[in-house]
Amino acid sequence: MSEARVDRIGQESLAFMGKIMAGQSHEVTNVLNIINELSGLQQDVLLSADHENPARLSKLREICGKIQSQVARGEKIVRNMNLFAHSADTPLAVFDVKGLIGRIVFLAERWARLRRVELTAKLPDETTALANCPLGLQHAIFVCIEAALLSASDKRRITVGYALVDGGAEIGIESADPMLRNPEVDTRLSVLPLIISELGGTLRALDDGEESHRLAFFIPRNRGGISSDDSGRIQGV
Amino acid sequence: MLSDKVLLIDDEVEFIETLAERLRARGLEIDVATDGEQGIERAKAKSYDAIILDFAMPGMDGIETLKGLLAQNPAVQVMLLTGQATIQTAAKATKLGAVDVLEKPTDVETLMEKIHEARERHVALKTQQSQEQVEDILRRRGW
Repeated sequence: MSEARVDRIGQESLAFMGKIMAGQSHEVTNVLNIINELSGLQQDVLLSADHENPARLSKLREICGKIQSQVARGEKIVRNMNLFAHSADTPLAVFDVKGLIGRIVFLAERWARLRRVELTAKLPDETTALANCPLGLQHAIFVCIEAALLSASDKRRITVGYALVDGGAEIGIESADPMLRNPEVDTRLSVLPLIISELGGTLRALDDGEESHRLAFFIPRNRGGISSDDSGRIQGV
Repeated sequence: MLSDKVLLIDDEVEFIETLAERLRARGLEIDVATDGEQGIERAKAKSYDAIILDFAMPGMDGIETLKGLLAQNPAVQVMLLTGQATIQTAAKATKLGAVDVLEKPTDVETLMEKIHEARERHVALKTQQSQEQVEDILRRRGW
């Protein structure tokens, strides 16, 4: 592999991690800001007179419920951030592809929300172990999601899913709108063949013409000398 | 005494509703909008003493919304209240005409002070505009 290619993948991976971590830290900040306002409101209610008023007790109960739901939201963000950060621990690992796709879709929801697009994961019930590069796979999926988001119009839907195929899995990103081919989208997608090649995979649907609604790629079940049967090294399950 | 009229624009519904409740309890008249387009519509239909605006929102972001609000009414007093302020964002917003850039979380009493200051500036600007209009009418009539 050429030095320039290694540099490009390395830089793009760092930028990808930075983007996800920065975006998710904003999400955590949003949660903390809401909790801060709710605790301020709680203080306002407590400082007001008439403590025996049942309406005030009910208000305090309502605030406590809202704080608990924000804490649960914050916990979910932090748990996903933590699993995402650990996906960079080793370049090769055995991981649950269903959990990994669910996680990257969850982490990408912020960008979908900012573009007013509904992003969902359509996943089978059973889990499947793959032996490959978890960070690289999340990066590839995120690049596809970004390209689909750049192409999507307001209030449309993008779905990420996978299917088991001979020797591995096919990951598909489907959009209600056709994928645009413009300089911005092409720039985002330019790194995709490099990442997929690093995963030992192949692009399956990208150049289907102007009206393509789907980006898809294949990745092998086992990559680089480890096997998906090596369950002792499963990440994030 | 008339209460200060304030518009809050933020896509975090729970945040904006809680802040609105706290400000209403302090005697302010509060309206809320959950995106930039809705905020601009509200500001078109009603005059506000201050508008408090988030930065990162779906659709129009804070900077685009700020531009839209000022294009509609150059005297409007817009403050950015954001958890994602960078020096560049703050400088850009101020250059465009935001009167303040506040970082979340902001103490509600500090926010009250900022709103009162904005109201005073808004009243002074409206008074000045009215005076200029009267002077213009008088000048055109040759008085």
